[in-house]
Amino acid sequence: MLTERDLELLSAYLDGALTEAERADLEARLQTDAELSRELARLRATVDLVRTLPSLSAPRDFTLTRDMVRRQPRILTSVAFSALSAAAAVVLLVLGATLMLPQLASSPLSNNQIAAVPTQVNTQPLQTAQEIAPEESGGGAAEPEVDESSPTLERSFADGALASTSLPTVAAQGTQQPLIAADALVPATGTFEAFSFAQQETTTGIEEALDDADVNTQQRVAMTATEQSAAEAQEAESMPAPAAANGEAADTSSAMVQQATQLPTSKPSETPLPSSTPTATATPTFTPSPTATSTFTPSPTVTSTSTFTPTPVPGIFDNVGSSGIGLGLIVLAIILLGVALVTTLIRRRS
Amino acid sequence: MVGNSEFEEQALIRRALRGDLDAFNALILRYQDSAYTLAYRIMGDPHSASDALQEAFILAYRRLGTYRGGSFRAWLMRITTNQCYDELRRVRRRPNVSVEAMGEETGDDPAIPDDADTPEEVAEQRELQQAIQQCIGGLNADQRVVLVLCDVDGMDYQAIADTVGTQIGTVKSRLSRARASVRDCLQAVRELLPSAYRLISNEDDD
Repeated sequence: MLTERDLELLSAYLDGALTEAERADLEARLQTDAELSRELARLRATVDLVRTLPSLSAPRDFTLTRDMVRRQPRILTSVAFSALSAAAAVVLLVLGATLMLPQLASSPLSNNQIAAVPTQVNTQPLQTAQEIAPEESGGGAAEPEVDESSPTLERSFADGALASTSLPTVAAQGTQQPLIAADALVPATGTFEAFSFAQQETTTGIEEALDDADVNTQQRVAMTATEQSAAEAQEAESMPAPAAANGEAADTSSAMVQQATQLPTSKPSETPLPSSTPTATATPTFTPSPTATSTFTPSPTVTSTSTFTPTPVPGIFDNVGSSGIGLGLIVLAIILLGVALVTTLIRRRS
Repeated sequence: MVGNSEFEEQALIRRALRGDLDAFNALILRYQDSAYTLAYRIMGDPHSASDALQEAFILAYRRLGTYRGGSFRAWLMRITTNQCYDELRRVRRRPNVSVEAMGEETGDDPAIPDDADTPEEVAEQRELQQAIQQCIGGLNADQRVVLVLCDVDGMDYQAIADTVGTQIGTVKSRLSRARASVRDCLQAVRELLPSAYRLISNEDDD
């Protein structure tokens, strides 16, 4: 009875792969062991048969083309993935920055940043107010205030092209509302909601609508700002500044509550109420002159936006620090930028 | 002439290493027949063999940087073998192709030896080859690859061990079992076998 070892020895013997000692030992056994020698004959015949298999010709040329050796685009290394990552990073960066700015603005040390937020929202009306308000409101004192705010506007513009491009649509939405509280002062919540809305608009591809929105917004806001400036000028003349600001803010708040409860799409009233009032009372320190309030006020957009309330997350910023969210968005944006960079590098290397 | 051919090959390899696809294709043309034979004997059918071979060559071009000198043919055969291996493992099948199907598939086999000049002999020879191929196809992947590398491609044990990435002892063991299995398999088609083999088989039966 042959063992596995015997078969291995025979197989290796056929290939001449045994050591000298193994070969001598096996050959000695083959002289006396008939079964072993018969098995050797069968194995040799088998190997010979297999070795008779002919060499084949390739049925075709297997030469390579450029296309064949070009790596298939993979999702992670595709141009589209890198571009999307970078675009998302920019969006998140801008959103994060704009979320953090109002939080910083609540600090008394940064009054300029208070101006930065509303002017970001309302860049178009401000420009039109600059042109129209002095003429129709007759408030000659308005001009210097507008001039003072202009650098702030430019700074806020520098924060990101996306915010400035998406915001005119917010203004356009706002001006479509018939109810505009002319003197309502920039409630912080309104600003947040405006940006939340901007976020929604941006993610749904705002760029396509930009040109139209710019034109429409300029026209509508110009009209709104004109009427508003006139109304504000009248009110400003009839009241002392701090009292006027407080009283109007209170009126605006109540009006907003009414509007909020009337509008089916609007959110619970706790969102505009608590944050709008303190911001309004803080305003006199920012604009000591009554004409300044009426001229500079970017209120149409903000007030009407808070009335419009398109954001699906009511009161979120009351509970969570907006600067924390902003910081998170910025970190996410940095990560996405890294992803875009790495995938681009990988693509170039490959 | 051989030295000249090797010199040319080294020049082609250097160009290919610099990314010259034409040079790499010239190398492919040198070895595609033997690589196809290897792939066909392992895979068992021309379609799988062609697919595996094409993939192997693409892989070889992309991994030219792993070529560290020595026999370019051995390097190319190693990649081809591994590609076939992967394919066999992936599909997890043992192509027990029917004789009819193999008749179609081996239609591109080279000419039958000169001494088999009658149509009957040609047919018998082809049938025998198909039977052997079928027996090889009945082996598991490990044994099949080793048997083909040794008895079809003619590699020695060390080269097989390098190609498969295993020890020489394992090669010996697999080869021995593979040959024993093919021997048993061929008993089933002994009427196809040459008379010498039949004599041995009869001896065994007696």
